[in-house]
Amino acid sequence: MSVEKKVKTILLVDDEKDIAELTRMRILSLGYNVILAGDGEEALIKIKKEHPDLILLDVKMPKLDGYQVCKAVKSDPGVKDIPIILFTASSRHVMELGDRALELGAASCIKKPFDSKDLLEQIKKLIG
Amino acid sequence: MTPQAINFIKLIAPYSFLFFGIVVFILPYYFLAKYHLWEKFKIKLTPVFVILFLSASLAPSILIAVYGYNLSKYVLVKEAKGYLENASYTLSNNISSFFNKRINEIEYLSNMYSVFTPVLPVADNIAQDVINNLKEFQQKESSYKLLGLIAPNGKPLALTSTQWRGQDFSTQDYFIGAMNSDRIYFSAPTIGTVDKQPELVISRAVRDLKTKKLIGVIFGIIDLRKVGEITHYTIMRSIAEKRYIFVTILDEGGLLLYDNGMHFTRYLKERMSDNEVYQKVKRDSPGNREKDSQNKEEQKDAPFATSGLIPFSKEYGYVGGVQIGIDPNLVFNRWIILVSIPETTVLEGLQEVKTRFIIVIIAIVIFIPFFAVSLARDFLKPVYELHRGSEIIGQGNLEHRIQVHTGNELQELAEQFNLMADNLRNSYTILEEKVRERTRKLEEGKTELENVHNYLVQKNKELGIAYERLERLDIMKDEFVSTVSHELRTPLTAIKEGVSLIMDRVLPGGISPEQERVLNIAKKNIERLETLIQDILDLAKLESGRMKMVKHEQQIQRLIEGFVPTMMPLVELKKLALKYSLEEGLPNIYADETRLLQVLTNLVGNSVKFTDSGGEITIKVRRSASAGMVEFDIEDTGKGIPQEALKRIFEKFEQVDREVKPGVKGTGLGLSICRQIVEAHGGKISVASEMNKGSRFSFTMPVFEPTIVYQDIFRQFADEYKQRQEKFVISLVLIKNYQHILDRYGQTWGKVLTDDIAQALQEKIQRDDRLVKLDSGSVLVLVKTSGNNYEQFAEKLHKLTPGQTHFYDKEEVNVELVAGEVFFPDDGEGEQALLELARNRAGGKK
Repeated sequence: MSVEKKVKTILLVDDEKDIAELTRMRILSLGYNVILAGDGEEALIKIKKEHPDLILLDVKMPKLDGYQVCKAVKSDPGVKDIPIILFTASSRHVMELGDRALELGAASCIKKPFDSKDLLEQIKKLIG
Repeated sequence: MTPQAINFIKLIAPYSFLFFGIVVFILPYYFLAKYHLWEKFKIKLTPVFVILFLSASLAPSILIAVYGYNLSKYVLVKEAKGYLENASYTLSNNISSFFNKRINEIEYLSNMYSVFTPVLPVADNIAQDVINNLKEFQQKESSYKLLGLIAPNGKPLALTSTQWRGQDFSTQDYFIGAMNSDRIYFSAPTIGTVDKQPELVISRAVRDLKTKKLIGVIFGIIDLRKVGEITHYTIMRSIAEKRYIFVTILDEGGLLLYDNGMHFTRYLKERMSDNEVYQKVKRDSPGNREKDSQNKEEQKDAPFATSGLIPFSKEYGYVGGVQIGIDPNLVFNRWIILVSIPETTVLEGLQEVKTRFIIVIIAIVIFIPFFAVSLARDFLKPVYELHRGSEIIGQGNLEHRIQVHTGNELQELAEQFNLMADNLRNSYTILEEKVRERTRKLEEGKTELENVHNYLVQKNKELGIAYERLERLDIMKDEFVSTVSHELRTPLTAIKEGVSLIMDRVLPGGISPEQERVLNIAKKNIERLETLIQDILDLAKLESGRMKMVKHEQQIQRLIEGFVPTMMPLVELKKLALKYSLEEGLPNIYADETRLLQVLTNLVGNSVKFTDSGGEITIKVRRSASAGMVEFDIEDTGKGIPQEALKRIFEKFEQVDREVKPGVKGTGLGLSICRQIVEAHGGKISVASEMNKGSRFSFTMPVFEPTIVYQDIFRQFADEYKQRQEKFVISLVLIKNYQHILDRYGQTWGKVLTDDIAQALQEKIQRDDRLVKLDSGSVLVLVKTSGNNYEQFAEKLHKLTPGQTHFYDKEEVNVELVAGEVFFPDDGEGEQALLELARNRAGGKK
């Protein structure tokens, strides 16, 4: 029963380490705690273990892709309430992606490379 | 007529009839048929003609038959009469000769006894000698019933029969008659007193040769049955021939002496003086004819008188008669012989003739149908020949010729037919020749074609391989472009984000103004690289046709009013003015909003780049000169583009005047992308420019036309069906009471209402599904049936129909909706046909 405001944890899943690192720095500056995962499998382990408040999920990843991870999260009652933001670099399927992301239960979908302002707005909207 | 001739005629009469029948019947027919006289005389084979012809043929035959029959009859009767005549003469001779012999015998006896006169009365023995002598005579001649010598006193001196002894003969007529003359006495025939048979007595007085003193009377009683005997022998031949001749002998008074057909008891008791022939013979007898001096020559012979067919005795027959002799002193000479022959006997031979005739007539009657058929066949022969010939020719035997020589229209027809066959054959020969020629050429051509074909197949194969390679290359290129842009973008994102992190001062520790300037340059170039990558990607997609234009109805005013503010930061930065002017009543256009905005952004961006501060950029939208198009003009007051550059301005990587303004640099792809997008909409892009005055970029966009939209979507969907087997539904939603709504609330509100409903429907469909406002009052929705797309839509549509409430200035308006749905491809594949079907199913009438 801690009275101090708990720092929210965000899981950032991206196989691009550099981007992930830069993104983490940006999010950290907003006062969130950020943990990183390099692929889908690692992401699922960390989700179970850390139980983050928000998941930022890249679609295109080795091993499990973003959709599969999203699906797995949403079908697990323990973690299914964690909001997920999907992002992709493919502009071709951005519309399709949006629909599919929503179908899978993702909260929103943004295009990569994302505008940092846009991302931060989305995060604030979801977890305050 | 000689008997031979008669026999000949009798023999050939029936056959001559047959012969003449054949000649009369067959020969005319034969000649008519042979020389085709039918046609010559234009005889038509009508039933009347056939009957007439047959009758005409038959009539002479029948006439000949009748004549032949009558001739035969005549010959037979003639023969019979001749026979009768012969028979009666022979008979009269025989009888005459018989009685003359008896007369001579009595004369002889009379003379002989006149020598012995003295001895007669004295001695009985002499008498006995006389008796013996007489008996000798009687034995020689059996016809004597009795011979005797009577004394002048009437007492018998000698009798051949003792029965008569002692009888007184003085009262007998033959005694008295002989006594009173020196001639032979012939008594009339009487019935004998002893034997009751007819008899006749010949007597002669016997006188002494020297003294002439009457010694006595010699007499002989002759049995008249002997006459019957003579008759019998005479006609024996006819009996043998079964030709029964009836012989009747009458005395001069008509008393019946003998009749071979009657019983002898009637002899001398019946008188036939009424008989016609008897009377005729008697009338012509020599005694009577003596008075007629003209006929002296014929007095020698007794005439044979005949009569026609008269009733005689029991039957009808031919009768003739003759008087036996001409010496009136002899009783028998005045007798009359009648001979008759029954008709049946005479005509017996005729029966045979009759039978022959009947057989021949039957034969002819039987043969007539055959003749008739043969006749008809001969008549129809040319027609048949024509028919057969035409059939043979028709079956392809063009060598066949029809043989008809009737000399009439039929022959003409046959000749025409043959001519036709000739022509056909000639044509056929020519045709065959041509076909051969063609075939040969074709074969040549075929070989050539085969070579060409093989070559083409080879080339096609090569092309196929090349195409596959190209396709692979194309895919590889796309993948390459996609991968490259992704791969380029990722590090770029990292750089951009890094620069941003520093510039946003997120990280602890500050930055100097110099550092910030450098970072700004870096950031600007990062953005430029980002745009370049995006443009390359877009252009690649546009050129390969992989970029799908998601076209919708666009309201120009809304579009422009939305677009202008997005450009303002850039415009204001350069202190330019951006204006727009829209023509009144512009129609909506049919375009991909994003792509259209991209074009506008590029063009306005271009103008911004090349226009100096204080300049002006104007967007003008108006109807195009080309039908169904709207023209967008972007005008600036910039530097202008050199004439020689205008041609190449829409080419890739073509940049005009790099030196114009250092630092303001584009990718060189923007105008190329614009052209691709405009052309993908079916529009045209052009540029006009005047140096130092400004440029004007113009492009056209198609006016929104529901049917074109429908076609567009339909074709796109149909293509997708071909590729992915994705079926779709065309749902036509109609406002059922639209006419009523129009009448009451007007056109404008009707449109508004349609728009509202379209809007409502738009919300019910998925992103990939499409909607077309076909016309005011009807909306067309094309929904893919993959997944549960269609079911969801149908459910929503069901909720929407049939009733909806809309408001017209706070007035509640009930809108009735109906929907008709057709499935592609199950209901068909024609866009118009499916639309009509949907309209029918919605229950609407066009």
